[in-house]
Amino acid sequence: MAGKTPREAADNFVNFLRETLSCISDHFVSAYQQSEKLYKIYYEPYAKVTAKNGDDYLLSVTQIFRAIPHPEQKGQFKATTQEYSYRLLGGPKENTEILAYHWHPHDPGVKFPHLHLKDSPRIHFPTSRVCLEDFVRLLIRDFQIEPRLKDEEWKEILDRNKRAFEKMATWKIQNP
Amino acid sequence: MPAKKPKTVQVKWVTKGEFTSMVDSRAKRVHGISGKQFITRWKNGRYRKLDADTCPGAVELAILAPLPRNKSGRKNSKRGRR
Repeated sequence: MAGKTPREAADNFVNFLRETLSCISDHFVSAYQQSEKLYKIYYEPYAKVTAKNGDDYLLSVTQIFRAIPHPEQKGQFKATTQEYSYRLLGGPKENTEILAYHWHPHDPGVKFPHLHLKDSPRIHFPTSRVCLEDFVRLLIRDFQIEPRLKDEEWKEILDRNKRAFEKMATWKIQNP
Repeated sequence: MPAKKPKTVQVKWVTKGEFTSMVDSRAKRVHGISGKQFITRWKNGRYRKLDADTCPGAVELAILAPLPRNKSGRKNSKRGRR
């Protein structure tokens, strides 16, 4: 995931995210370079995903990251996540949100990564850091979201990208 | 024969204008105000008690919008490096 320039590191990181999201949606991913080192990835509009029983959901994924000098590879840059939001909605209105994984330590309020559930309003369930691959796997496994790819393909992508994430993450995931 | 669907989706790199328009659209959807008004109100401390449950989508808008980040949060930022 490292790159010779901040932009190359960002491109590499974005490619991981889009490959992971490709497992469940064919919706394009939007990316914005706010400054030389600050990047934002999001869905606009939200991506439609469909469960095996035919139910439709909307997916909103937002990831904010910086490209910083690589601490171990001189002259290289790496991406470092600054904030994230992964949300599943039951319909087009914001109040149909079913769950949301948040980590936004730079904003007011709760600084640790947490989970919001529709049925438990105002509760911030503490979580480990949640990677996008685990969120996508949750949708396929527990919400029965129909994968776009064959089982062996999406499993291989999620496993491979999660391994890459774990290798590069300064703050490690606590696996279930 | 139908075209084979691509396995990997596209990434659309947006311009500053497109991004600003997206923030404006989300601010209207979530708070019923323009993106500019949202940013002004944020800077004035209006959303210090922002709650994702009472206002779904608000946190996402806040992390997307070009807002000043508070210094107290930065001490945690090292933990988020990937």
